[in-house]
Amino acid sequence: MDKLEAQLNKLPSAKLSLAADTKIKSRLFKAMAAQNFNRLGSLSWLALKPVGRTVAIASLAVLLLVGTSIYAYASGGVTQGSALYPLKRAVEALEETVNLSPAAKVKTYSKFSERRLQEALILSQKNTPANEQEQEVINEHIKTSLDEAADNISSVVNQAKTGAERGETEAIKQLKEKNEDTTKYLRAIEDKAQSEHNEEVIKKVNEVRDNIRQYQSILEDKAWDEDKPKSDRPEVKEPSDSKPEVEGQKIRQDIKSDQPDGRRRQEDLKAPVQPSQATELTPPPVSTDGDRTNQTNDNREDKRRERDD
Amino acid sequence: MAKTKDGFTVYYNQFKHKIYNYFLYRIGFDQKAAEDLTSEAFLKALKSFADFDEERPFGPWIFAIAHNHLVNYYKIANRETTLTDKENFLPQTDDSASERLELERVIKLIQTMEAADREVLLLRFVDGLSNTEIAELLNKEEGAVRTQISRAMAKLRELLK
Repeated sequence: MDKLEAQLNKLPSAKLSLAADTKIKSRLFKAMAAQNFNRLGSLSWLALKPVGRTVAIASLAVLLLVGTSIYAYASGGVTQGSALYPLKRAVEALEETVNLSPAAKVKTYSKFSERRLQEALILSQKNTPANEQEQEVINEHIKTSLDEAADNISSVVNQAKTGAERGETEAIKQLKEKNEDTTKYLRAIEDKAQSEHNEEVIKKVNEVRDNIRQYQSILEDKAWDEDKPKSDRPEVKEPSDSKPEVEGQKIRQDIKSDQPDGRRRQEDLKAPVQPSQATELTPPPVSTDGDRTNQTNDNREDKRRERDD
Repeated sequence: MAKTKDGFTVYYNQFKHKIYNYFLYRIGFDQKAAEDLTSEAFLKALKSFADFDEERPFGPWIFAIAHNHLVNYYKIANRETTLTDKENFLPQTDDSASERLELERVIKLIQTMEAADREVLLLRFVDGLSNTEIAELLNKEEGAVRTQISRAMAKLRELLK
């Protein structure tokens, strides 16, 4: 290989930014949803049949569509890979456009981030796929869900800041209410990924966790106390990795808490599960061998502490 | 891989950076335009995904769509791209400043070459396609592609002197 060829081989490769990536994925999901709707539209030849039958079929189709949409939207079990997933995302896209105030947006994006994490958890808890390709598909879906969760969390933080700057403490209140389940899902996904030595997913989990720390910087800022007059409130701090000094902060405790016996973790995992998803959102499998379980948990905690330090 | 919408998402994740890079190097390193073109190319691919032959690799197929989309992009607006007035346009690397300058010089010279020579060099060294893949994409014989790359390299060497 001569010098020129070596130089040409060194030409750098650019990567699509996370923002652009998310935007493109969103467009693709909308297009997928539109394709599904069009497929339903292709049944329009039925309009040529007698009027009564057409009306009956059309009504049934509308009912089915609305019912399916509601089910897809509400069900945590509808994950990437499900035929209803594009429908779920289409409804979410609609919801995103109708929420205008920062407080409403904080609530919406928090809900979306929780959903993506919930989907990632469900996908990670699927039984071992039949082959490597299937495993690869599921793995990609988990990573995509985590990417989107991270992006939604960034949006939550931005909207909370916007709300706070305008003196709308409702946005901060929403932020406080919507963070506990997030960390529980995240921890469960991480445990599962660690048990499977899935480094890619662990990396994504850490990216989400980095974004969650931005929650922390806002919640720790007691200057946003609702009782304080707006003029007394300082500007919101930029997200930082500095360690918190304020006690009683729920998120940080959840992220960093030491849980030597794994029992509380199982309880945590069960807490956010909705009755309708109970069969799918079971905790990650735990070994029945007590010594080995404790050893595994200790190792995980050691790793977690190292990373947090 | 099953030809489902999920399959498409997996392909997207696999090829998004490559296609973005493909556009970036061909439109004067305009990041915004490259992002838009990447988005449009994948939307086109999604529309035609039902016609995609799953027995064949996805790479040449998506590169062909990107290539056609780029041709239309230039054709419709009669656009021209130049790098002569740009500096520090290459994506970030760990190379030293002098190495980056040298690489930028190489890229600028490639941009001045004839379209056919430029295209084979970019496909080979930037997009990392094999001669077989380039031949399939450009609808040429593999031997012809090899010869053209060799000639283009010789021309570039002359330009660099």
